[in-house]
This record gives sequence, structure tokens and C-alpha cells, in this order.
Amino acid sequence: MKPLGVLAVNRFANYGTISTAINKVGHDYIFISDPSQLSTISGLIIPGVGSFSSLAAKITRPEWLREFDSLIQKNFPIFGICLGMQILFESSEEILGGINRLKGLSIFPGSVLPVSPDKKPVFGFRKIKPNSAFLNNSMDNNSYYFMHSYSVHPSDTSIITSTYCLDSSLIVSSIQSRNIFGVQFHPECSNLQGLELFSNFLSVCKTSSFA
Amino acid sequence: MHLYVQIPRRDLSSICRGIIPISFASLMRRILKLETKPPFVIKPLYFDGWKKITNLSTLTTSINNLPIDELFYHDCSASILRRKINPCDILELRRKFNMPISVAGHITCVDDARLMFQSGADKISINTYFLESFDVHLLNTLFEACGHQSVSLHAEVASVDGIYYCYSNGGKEKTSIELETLLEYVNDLRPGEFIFQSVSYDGSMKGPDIRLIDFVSSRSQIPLVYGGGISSTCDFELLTSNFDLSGVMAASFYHTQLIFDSSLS
Repeated sequence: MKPLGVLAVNRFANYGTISTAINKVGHDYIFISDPSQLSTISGLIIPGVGSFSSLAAKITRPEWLREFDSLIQKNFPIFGICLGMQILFESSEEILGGINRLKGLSIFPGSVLPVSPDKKPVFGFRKIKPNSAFLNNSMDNNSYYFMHSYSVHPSDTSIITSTYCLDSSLIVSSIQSRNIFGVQFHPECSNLQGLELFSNFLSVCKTSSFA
Repeated sequence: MHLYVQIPRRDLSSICRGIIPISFASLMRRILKLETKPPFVIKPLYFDGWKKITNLSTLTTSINNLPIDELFYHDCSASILRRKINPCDILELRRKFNMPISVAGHITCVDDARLMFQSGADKISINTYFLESFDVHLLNTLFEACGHQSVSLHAEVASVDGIYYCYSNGGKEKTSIELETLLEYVNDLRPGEFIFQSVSYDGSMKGPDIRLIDFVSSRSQIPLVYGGGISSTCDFELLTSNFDLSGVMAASFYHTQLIFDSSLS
């Protein structure tokens, strides 16, 4: 089986944590910094630490968009974590000192908006209500570590696979459409239940035509 | 909606208002503060002097089983010696622990931050460098690159003649910067969190510095993490039920839980 790919166009993502998590579930990875490398991997993980603007500036270039369009049509496995999930949507309000919305990969219609009017970040473990086999874990522990100031608002709510409650509002905590998975939390920081999500993604990759 | 509760008499003396709000929405994190002077885990008392606790390499994965939400790694000697954190130390922690890791210690430029993230950090925290330079440009650069939530500011604080001052270099050196001034910067810059530690309570295990927490809570508009004096689970509960803190850090409390038992013996 080919290695997993970790998108590495953003200088500040938590690559150390992601790569350690992949090793812990017993697989290899390579860092992907050029679209031509996508053909050498069985699935792509888009890491979460960073800002929408810095990631979007790189990943929405025509050469990346062309490659993503082609792969997604063939049901290529993608696992977006936090910002990595947000970048799958059309636009985000996360931009410093400006008022314009930034464009994402637009794989899913919808936008990324602040979790609260004062943009206070959410930190810590929260319990989610899962509705997808991908989120199953052997410990039946649905508590995951969140660290975010923005959240996704999908236009098509059928892709939502879990939510969590924040001050009486429901925040989307994960999405799925075919082989594309996204989580707002950080499975790489969420103890054994988080590591199991990497195993689940690995299983998806193994059974895909890209293995 | 806020309810109000009369808090115990011993704490009342330290709070001007005598009553403080209970926030039922609070989901406060418990954070293990791992102070180091590599290759040792150390514990200062009042941020002065260092007691060796164990060797960093002897930390065991059993820490993963404790009710800890996060690990705060602070290389206390890095700023004093003007040296960088060894990325191998962070990588080693990352391999052992599955929880989020924040890293602090002489982070002075974007390349320092990048190296920490590449080594296994999930967040970084800046103290001495900002207090010495007020380098707003660096912070804004980091916010733009990493997002606000991944960058914290932290300060050790003590009251001198009734005024809270910030300390730098691992809490050893008093600066002329008043906490109130720093909080104005914090509210303006909006780092992910503001981490504040009480110099007068550090390592003492005499309970949290309620007066300081009240002072900061009433002035800050961003998530707060407190550290200093935590001695029991009751202290966590007291702070959870009375303050809207994002997290509470403890070191000595966890040392007494014998998490480092193999090396202590």
C-alpha cells in the first residue's frame, strides 16, 4: 500500500503531531508540497493548525485545483482536520485586518464563520454526537480536543456527521461525503479515541482504488 | 444567566467584592505544567531555585491515563541562557503523549515557532521576549501564519506594594511592566489565550491566588489559563465553579500524584 500524504504547504501546521499519529497507527507518510506528488499516495491528510488565509493562498492555485478536481471525481480519500476541513468549503471570514471573504477549495458549498461574535477561541475536550461509522472507536469515547475560532456552515446539511453544543448553539464537528472526511476537532491530540480515527481513515484508503 | 455564591471565609478576605459569578458553561481544562531545565524536569518554588524532579527521558506514558487535558512544556532556563529549545525534547514528548502540547521557552522569531510545530507542539506561548521587546509585529505575523488560537502569551505575576507586576525569565526577574498594562496589550492583540501564574503561590500548594484570578478575570476579554498554588482536586473545582477560566495549570499537585514514581524512587 502506498503511504499516506500529509499536505505540507503551510509552514506552521503541527506536522510533528500528525506524523507521529500516523506512525502510531502503523503506517508511513510523506509530506506533500507539490500537486504532482498526489499520485504517489493512498490518501491525503490536510493538517489543522494555521490560518485560512495562509493555506488558501497556496492551495487554491490552479495547479492544485486541477489535481484536486480530477482526484475527487475518482473518489480519492481526503481527511481534513480543523482548518483542513474548513478549506474544503467555498469561503471563510477568517482574514486579518480585512473584510473580504477568502475562497477555499469549494469542494462543498458553504462558508466558515466565527464560532462566536467576539471570535473567542474554543479550547478543550468536548463530547460530540456522532452519526457515522467513520467516527466509531472501540472505547465508545466521543470526547475530542477542539481548538478553533471558526466553524463550518455547510449549505448541504446532509454531509454533517456530528455536532457539539457550545453555549446552546450546535457547532458542526465533522462532515463526510463519499471518501472525503472532515473533523473540526484534533484527533491527533485526542488520546486513543483520536488515534482510532487515523486507523479508520487508513482502512478507507486501503479499500480505495488508490491503495 | 449567572448565579452568585458566597465563597468560603478564608477566600473572602482576598476578594474585594466578596461574591463572584458562577458560570455553568465552563469546561475548564486541567493542564500539567512540565517545567524543565533539560535534561531534567524541575520544580521551582516561588519561581526561585530549582528542585530536580526527574529526568525528562523517564517520563512514562502513564501520564496519558491521568485526568489531564493538556501538557504545558516550559523550558525555564531557555530565556535566561538565551538558548533555543531542543526540538528533540519536544519530539520525544510527542511520541509518548497523545494530548495537546503547548511549548514555551525563548521563542523569539517565526522560525522558532515553526520548528516547535514541526517537532510536535500544537501551540506555542511567548513570555520574556514580548515583555522585553513588545514586538507586536512578531505576534501579528504568527497570528497570520498559525491562527490566533495557536499562539498564547504568558506572564508570571506578583504584587509589589499593591500593584501587580510582570516577571520574565521564568518568573525570576521583575520587570517594570504592570499587569494592567500588559492586559491592555493582550485585549488588543487577542492571542489565543493569556496564561498567568502567581509568583507568590508557585510551588507552594497553598491554594490558588484568588485575588489575582479575580483581578485578571475582570479585565481580560480572551480565554484565560491560571497557574500557581494548586494543591487538590478541590482547588480545580473551586476555580471551575467560580471563574470562567479556560484552563488551570498545576505542577507540584501532579508531582505528588506520583506520576514520576519510578524515577523518584
